[in-house]
Amino acid sequence: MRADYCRTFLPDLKLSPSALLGKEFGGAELSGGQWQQLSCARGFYKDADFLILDEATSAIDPFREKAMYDTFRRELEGKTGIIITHRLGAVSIADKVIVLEQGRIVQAGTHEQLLKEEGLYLTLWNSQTKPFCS
Amino acid sequence: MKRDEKRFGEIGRKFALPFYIMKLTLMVSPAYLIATAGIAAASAVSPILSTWLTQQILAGLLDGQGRRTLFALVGCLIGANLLCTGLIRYLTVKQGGFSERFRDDFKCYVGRRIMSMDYSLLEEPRVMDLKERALRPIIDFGALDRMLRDTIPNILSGVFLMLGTAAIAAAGYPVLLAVLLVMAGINLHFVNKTRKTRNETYMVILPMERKIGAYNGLAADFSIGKDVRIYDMGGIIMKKIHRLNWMDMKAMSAQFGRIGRSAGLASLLSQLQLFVIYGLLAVWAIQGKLGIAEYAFYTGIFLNLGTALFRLSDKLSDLFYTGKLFSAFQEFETLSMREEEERKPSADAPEVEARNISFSYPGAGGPVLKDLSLTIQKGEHLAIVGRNGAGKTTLVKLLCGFYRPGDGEILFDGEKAQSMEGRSTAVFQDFRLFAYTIYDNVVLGRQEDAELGPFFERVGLKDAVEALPKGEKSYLYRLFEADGVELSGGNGQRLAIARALYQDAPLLILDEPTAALDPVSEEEIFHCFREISRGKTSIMISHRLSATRFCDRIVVIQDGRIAENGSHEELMGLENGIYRKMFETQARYYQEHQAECDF
Repeated sequence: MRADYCRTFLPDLKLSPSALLGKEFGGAELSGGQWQQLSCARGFYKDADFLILDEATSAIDPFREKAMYDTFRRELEGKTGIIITHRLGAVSIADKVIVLEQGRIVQAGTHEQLLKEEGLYLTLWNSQTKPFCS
Repeated sequence: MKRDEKRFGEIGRKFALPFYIMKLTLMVSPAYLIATAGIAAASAVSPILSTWLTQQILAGLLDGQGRRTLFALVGCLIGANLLCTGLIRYLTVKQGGFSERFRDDFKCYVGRRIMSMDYSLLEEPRVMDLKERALRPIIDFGALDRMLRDTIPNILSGVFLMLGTAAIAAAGYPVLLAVLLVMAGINLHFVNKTRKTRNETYMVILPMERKIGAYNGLAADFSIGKDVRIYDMGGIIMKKIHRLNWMDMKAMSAQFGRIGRSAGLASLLSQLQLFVIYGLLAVWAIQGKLGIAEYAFYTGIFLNLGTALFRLSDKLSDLFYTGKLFSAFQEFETLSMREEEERKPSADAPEVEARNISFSYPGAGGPVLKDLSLTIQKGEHLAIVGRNGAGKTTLVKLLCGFYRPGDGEILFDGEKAQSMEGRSTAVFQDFRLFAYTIYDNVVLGRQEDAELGPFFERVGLKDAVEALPKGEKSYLYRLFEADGVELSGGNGQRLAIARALYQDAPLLILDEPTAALDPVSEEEIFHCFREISRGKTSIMISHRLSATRFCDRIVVIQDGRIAENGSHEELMGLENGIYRKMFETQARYYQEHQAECDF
């Protein structure tokens, strides 16, 4: 079970689950994104009903990121989750979006609803979308 | 023949150790050395003076010398003792202060050396262990202090005392002298055994203790507090610590049995010595071979001599075996330093070429880069993309000169660069901001009145800094200042970029510069990137393909090689191209809400 589980989050890693990590004591060094994937694996392993992901894909490449979102969606089935992110692509797996500014919730709703409001969300969305679609 | 040479060399090195230690001390704190020498001299002279004066007094009494002479002699005895003791006390107090200063200065010395070391060495466990072995004896065990204040002075005073008394002893009772010499030799043997066992155990324990230190540090680390509580990590960390402690204790106690025997026998021997001295002299006195004054005199001489001999054997053994500990420090001192380059690199944007580079990290895994070749034109803004672990950051570390490629070479403007000093500046994903002022975090002590306004403006920090009561003189974090500020992730990143810009090197490298930034800030940085890197050759590593599309050229690294190379339009034109697939994967999320979207 352990090896399979690790492979869900780190499919490209060619190390056994009992391999030592970290240069400190002569173990293998992972890239920034791989460390992040590893911590996601740890988080989901706990199998809690309520999960918070705080910028969980900031160092991960686009392919892995997509796979991670798919995994999140699958693993969060039947659970409550909060995803904190700057990557607005993540809203595709979210039921609801909350926008915070200066310690207050300024907008809340589904992605489509928020796009219709001319608020902060639209600004954020546009600045990320524009380069992809100009 | 070779073995003799090796032994001779080893002995030579051991004898050279005191001079090495004194040279080290002289370099770091001369006052310490002088105070120590003074104490040693006074300690050596004092007992001899006492013994001689006592003998004179007794002789005077027996000869029936006048009161005045006797009082004068007693006066001299008291005076000499007072003087020597006073001098020793005074210098000891002074020495304490110098010793503390020395320890601090020594740590600074080591710190400077470590910061000048070749980067690739910093990641090798072998070097990390060496650093422990080198510093532990000096800083934690106070080995150098002991050498200076105890061992070397005692050897010197021991030799001095021995020379003073041995001649008299030999003239009077050579047999007793011979017995004492033999006993001292046996003592040396026991003491050597004890020290050898200690040293061996120490070698075994040290890597273990480095681990214990690391895990104890984890347990006490505030910054991992959230994870420790969420994942209940306390259990596994403590389990590790307990197990390591247990192994440590096992190794330590294994040596005690062996040490106990040798130490016990040595102690027994020193008692035996007293018995022999008093006993033999008493027997000869009873037999009428020496008078009372002579008895007192020779007892004094032989006791001093005996003590001197035992102390000498003890301290010589200490010197030899501690010498082995210092050899780690000598090895540490020879670790290669960063190479200094004579020629100042030009400030113009360079052409950078990586030619047939191959590279593996020392120890771990296979090659990360395999026969990679890449040329970056003068003033070009290049994007490097690739999957996690493809080798992007590794390539950039090579360009910064942290490692040397296993194969191939790196050329700046067509010349093989000896060192990368001043050529490149980079912001890596694991950049650190220090608990200094914002100003110092950018300028890093290089200038007094730098004008940082333009830099803050370029990275979008101007408003945030001006909003702070102390502006750019605000301290970061509350480590040293109660009113220190905490910057948000995004602002911290901007500050790191400002620091890189301030350094004004011709090659600028940004590794995931917007990982912690919100979409609007991210766009601003990308927007400025061309502005920021104007006049420089620049490289950006990013997973945010919205940014990379505006770079002059994009390079895709896969399996340690360049898989694709071209502008955004060119790469999007590749059927089944890696870049194209990555771009579309990311774009898809935003696609649904833009009716017409051409990539």
